[in-house]
Amino acid sequence: MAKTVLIVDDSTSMRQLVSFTLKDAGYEIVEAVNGRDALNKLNGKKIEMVITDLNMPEMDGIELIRQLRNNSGFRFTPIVMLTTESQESKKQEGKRAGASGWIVKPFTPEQLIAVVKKFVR
Amino acid sequence: MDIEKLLNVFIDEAIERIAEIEDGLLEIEKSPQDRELINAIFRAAHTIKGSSGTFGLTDISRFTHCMEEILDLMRHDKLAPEKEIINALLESTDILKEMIEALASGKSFDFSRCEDLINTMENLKSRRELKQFKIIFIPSPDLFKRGIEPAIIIEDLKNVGEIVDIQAYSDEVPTLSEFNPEELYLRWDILLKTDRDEADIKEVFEFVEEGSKIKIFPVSDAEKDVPFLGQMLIKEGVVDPEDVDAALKTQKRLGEILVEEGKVTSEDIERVIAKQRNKKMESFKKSISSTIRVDLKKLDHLINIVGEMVIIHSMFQQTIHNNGNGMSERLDVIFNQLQRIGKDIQESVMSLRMLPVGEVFHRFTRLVRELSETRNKSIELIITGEETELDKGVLEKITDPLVHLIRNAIDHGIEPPEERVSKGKPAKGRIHLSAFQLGDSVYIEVEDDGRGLDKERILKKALSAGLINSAAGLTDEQIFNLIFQPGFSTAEKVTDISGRGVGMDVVKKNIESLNGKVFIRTKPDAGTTISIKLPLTLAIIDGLTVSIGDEVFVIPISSVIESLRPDRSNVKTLNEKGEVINVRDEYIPLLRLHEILDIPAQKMEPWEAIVVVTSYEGKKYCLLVDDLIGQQQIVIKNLGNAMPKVRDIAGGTILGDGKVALVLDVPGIVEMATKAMMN
Repeated sequence: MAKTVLIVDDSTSMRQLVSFTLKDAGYEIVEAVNGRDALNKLNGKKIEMVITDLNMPEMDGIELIRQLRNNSGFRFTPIVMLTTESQESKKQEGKRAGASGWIVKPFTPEQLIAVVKKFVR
Repeated sequence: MDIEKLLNVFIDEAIERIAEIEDGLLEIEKSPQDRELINAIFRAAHTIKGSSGTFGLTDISRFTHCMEEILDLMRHDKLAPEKEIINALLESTDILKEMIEALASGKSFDFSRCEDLINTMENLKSRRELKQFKIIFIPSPDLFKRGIEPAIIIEDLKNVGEIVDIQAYSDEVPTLSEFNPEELYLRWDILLKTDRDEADIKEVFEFVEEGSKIKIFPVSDAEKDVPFLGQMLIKEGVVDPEDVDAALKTQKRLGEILVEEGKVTSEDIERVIAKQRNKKMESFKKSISSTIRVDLKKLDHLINIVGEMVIIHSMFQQTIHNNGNGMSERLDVIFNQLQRIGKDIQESVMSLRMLPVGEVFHRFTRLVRELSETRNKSIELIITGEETELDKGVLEKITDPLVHLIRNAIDHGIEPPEERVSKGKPAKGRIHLSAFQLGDSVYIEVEDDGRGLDKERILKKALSAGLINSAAGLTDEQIFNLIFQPGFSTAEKVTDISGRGVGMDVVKKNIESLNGKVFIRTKPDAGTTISIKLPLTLAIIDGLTVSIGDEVFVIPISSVIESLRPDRSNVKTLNEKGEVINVRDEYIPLLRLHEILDIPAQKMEPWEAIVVVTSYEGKKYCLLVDDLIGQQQIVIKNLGNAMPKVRDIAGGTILGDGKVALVLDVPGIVEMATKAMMN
């Protein structure tokens, strides 16, 4: 059965890039435009991995990670954040909130797949 | 700003950087542990690579990239500064120099010449050291709650290097009743073999480091296969890990141990540590140099203007002097002030052209290293006085002569090690290159502790080469000076670097063209010192103005001993030497300047005129002139290409009254006169 990855990003192009790449690699994709949207779209679905941007309107990535970690269904789910090299403090914040790792933007499709494969077995 | 100008800036900068790389590489051989030094070399190569890339000079950029990669491995301790590597890098700097030179002269450079060296460097790169690191990984118990599996980390480590050994410890796993499946109880010891460094390994653990204990430390060669004593003790259940940790913490530093053993005092240690700190500071300061690059043309223009100012001062002074009676004293005071300030300006402007000799001296480190290697001699070059400053022009012209002198010292002066030992000297020869300022002159000396000049051999050689007719009456100094004659060479074997009989005469000519002098001091089996005396600056000299007929000439004060009007009874004519003048019982040859210069004079007899006693090569000569005018600072101007090169004139100058005067070249005059006498 295909594993499901949740991609949370307010940038349409980024969402499309990630979902296109991962669909191609055989993953199911759920897209959300911000943290709140992501929480709303969970409704009991089995999600194997979350990829989230950090700066988003309404609910940012850090808050999303915090809320997910408080949700018993997501305590052990790998959550990877999308960051830029310059967001060192954000990275630390994400780490404290319970993120499992990060992908530095910009990244190639191959890099993305490698990270996902690492966390989803 | 046009690209041409920018390119020139690049070339200048590249030349400086290349020198830095070269010096640094030679230095690193002596102190391979100097991290700041290797960083400086890396930065220099990096700068060249970066800026050549910017200018689209892909060849240079590609080539320096190879160098940079090796240097990068070196500065991360992945490549030891072995001789082969240093040699390859030094060769690369040579090629790089050629590339830059080709660029500067607008020629093309055949990049295929670099291929061999690039291949060599690639091969050397693969020699990077594989190191082993021991990693102790005690993960945070709540690692699972962050969506991370420890296996991911172990997988990642495989990307960094080869996992030689991995040991999982399950001793923290509780009994089933207390077991919490959400918590992680395992810990790992990992032995990783890699060419990367600690930081790269640490990066793998970046996301798990919170709440985890991660220790990464390099395992030295000796310990690679042998587990730590502490580890073995723990494994065999003799001690607890905590006890080993505590024991390790009580280990003392080297300094403390030496103090306790009474080998050194704690003051010694502190003193040396302070020294170490100073060294670090110095090398840091070196990297932040406080210089500004100025176009040499601009500087020369400024110097010319200052020269004009000096002339105007003389004119002013003369005008005041001539019309002095009516003028107020106050004008005189103001003039004196003006003159003082003028002199200050002149001196500081001249100092702008001055460069420390160290830059040139340090190039010889490489020369000595390479030559002594090919000659199978062990020679140490000692450099002192590198901060002594010389005019840029003088410095440039002195480089080649110094190369000759150092080559001579290596080839002829310093004996082979066996010979040295049999003479009771240390096997390692020594060349001392020094510079110092004394009065208005700068001395540069090349001193070796070799066999010294062989008087008999020089005489024999000079006789057979027809340089002299007989050895009779020659002083030691004159004999030694024979080596400066064109066509002189005593070397039994002609080597590729010296012994072709060109060299010493060229050395002497070059130095004399700078208004300098060469002296030899030598002692059998103790060594030879060639001492070069140079004027501080070329452009402005103190001169004695003299008149011959209607003309005014300037004789550089540096070659004047005294001037006098001889008594008629002291002027004699000897058979062999021609006209001589008895100066305090010393017979000095008389040279009639008007005859040599072929101009009319007013006074033909020495007792009516004035003779200026000068010295050249340890001999004295009386120059006959009509009258002395005075002594003043003069600015030597090049006569330009319009005048054919004449040996007896060093240049021209404008005097205070606006008249043009020629500056006499005493060595040239003496040579012309001796030649005329021989004919």
